[in-house]
Amino acid sequence: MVSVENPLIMNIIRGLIGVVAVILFLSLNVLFLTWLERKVIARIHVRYGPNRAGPYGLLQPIADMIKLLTKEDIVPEKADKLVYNLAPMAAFLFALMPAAAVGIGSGLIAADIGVGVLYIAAVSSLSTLAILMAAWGSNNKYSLLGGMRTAAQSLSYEIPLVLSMIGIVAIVGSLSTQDIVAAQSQAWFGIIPKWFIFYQPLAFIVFFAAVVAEMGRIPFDLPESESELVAGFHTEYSGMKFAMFMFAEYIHFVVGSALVVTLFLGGWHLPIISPLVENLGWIKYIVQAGIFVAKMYVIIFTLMWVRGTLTRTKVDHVLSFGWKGLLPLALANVVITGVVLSI
Amino acid sequence: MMDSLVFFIISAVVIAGAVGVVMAERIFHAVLALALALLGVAAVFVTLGAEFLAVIQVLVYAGGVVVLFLFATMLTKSDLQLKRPPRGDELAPVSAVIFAIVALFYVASSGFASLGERASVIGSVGSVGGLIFNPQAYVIPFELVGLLLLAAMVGAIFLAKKEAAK
Repeated sequence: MVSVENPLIMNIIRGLIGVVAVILFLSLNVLFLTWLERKVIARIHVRYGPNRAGPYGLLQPIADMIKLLTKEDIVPEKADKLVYNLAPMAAFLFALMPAAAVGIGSGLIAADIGVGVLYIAAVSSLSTLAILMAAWGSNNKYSLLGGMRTAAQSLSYEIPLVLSMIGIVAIVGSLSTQDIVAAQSQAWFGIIPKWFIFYQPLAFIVFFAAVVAEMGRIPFDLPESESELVAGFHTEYSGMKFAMFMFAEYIHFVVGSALVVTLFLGGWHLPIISPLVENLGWIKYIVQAGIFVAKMYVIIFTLMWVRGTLTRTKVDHVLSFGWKGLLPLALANVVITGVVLSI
Repeated sequence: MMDSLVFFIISAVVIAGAVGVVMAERIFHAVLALALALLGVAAVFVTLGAEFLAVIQVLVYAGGVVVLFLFATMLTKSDLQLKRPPRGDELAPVSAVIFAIVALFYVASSGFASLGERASVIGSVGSVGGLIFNPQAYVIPFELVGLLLLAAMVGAIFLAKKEAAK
């Protein structure tokens, strides 16, 4: 047995556990989400959705996975081979990176980075790079158009996204996600939670809209609108590489929803229940993770609901909404928060 | 030992990226190599404990500037291959070596090496913010840079508007 006192080996082991936990958590949620999304959308459309594989079609994700794994991998003749093949891996990697700094319980976090929120904003901006690689590498005009739209959209929405977090950071006085959640643990009269959605309603609206745009979901999913762009940047991808893009997209979905919960909905805190389990040892962590995941699924369900209800926005409307709508609101929120805090 | 091993691996990545920028025959590959080099530099900042600087490096350079570069590259023809520069080919390595020597001298005389443990304190968000917004330190240069960027932005908008009006 290796000596466990060695701090280096301990660090490596801790890091590996974090990596495995993050990937496991995300994979399970993504598998479940692909099923849930189809089911929820089907219900909204008054259809049944997947119902053949397993009870309630629950084994559908497994069947899909086997299908995608065994599909032929097609590389277009005129593609830029290197970039084309690297793009799905880059998309997957950059989608995973922000998850490291999002915790699902106090201490249940892969890496509690001091600059947590900023780190998340920074590494999620890298996904654009992967999408542009796919768009360019495919050497297909629809992919290219989709890629251009993605770049324009994510650059535009990144600014309100970061600005809307400034208010919270100023109140908490820390960029760490753990500190931000800890700051939301109290409640008025023991029932009304002191979550930042109540302190920063304007920031919540801006952040929510911007995060949906960054995920590229309806009503902001024009980078891959099927009817005009034939699915945009991943038109040419098939089999496992296509699956990696889908996986990355659903990871964005999970991480984005988790961020909304962390920043605005009190993370793993819930009035009445949280104080009860405070001294219960390991049960505390299970309850915290449960509360966090439940809240996350509320956001996820809302977004699916939005997808089933709203239509896609036109590209110029999306960009002008970002620059002329969200950006001034986010700036106003920064100013108001600054003034209120300094009084 | 481990620290220097990590440092050498990251440095190799940065150098490979930088060489790739110069040697790549397609512009798109050159920009991607640049992204690799910039991300590597961010990793160097992390090993030095300057988390804030590393994150800003990723946010501004890899996530912003490189994406804009790629955006511009996409407006070019897809089969565009770069030719070797027609002149100054012999001067390039000489000037690169001279620049490297000057940079090495500067770094060696700057006292970065003696920072050691203090680096992580100096590189934190709090201390960087404190320095930038301290009237005795850098607040005036900071505001001036902000003004300069604002002027550049107004200029860019003005140029773009003129194009559109034609």
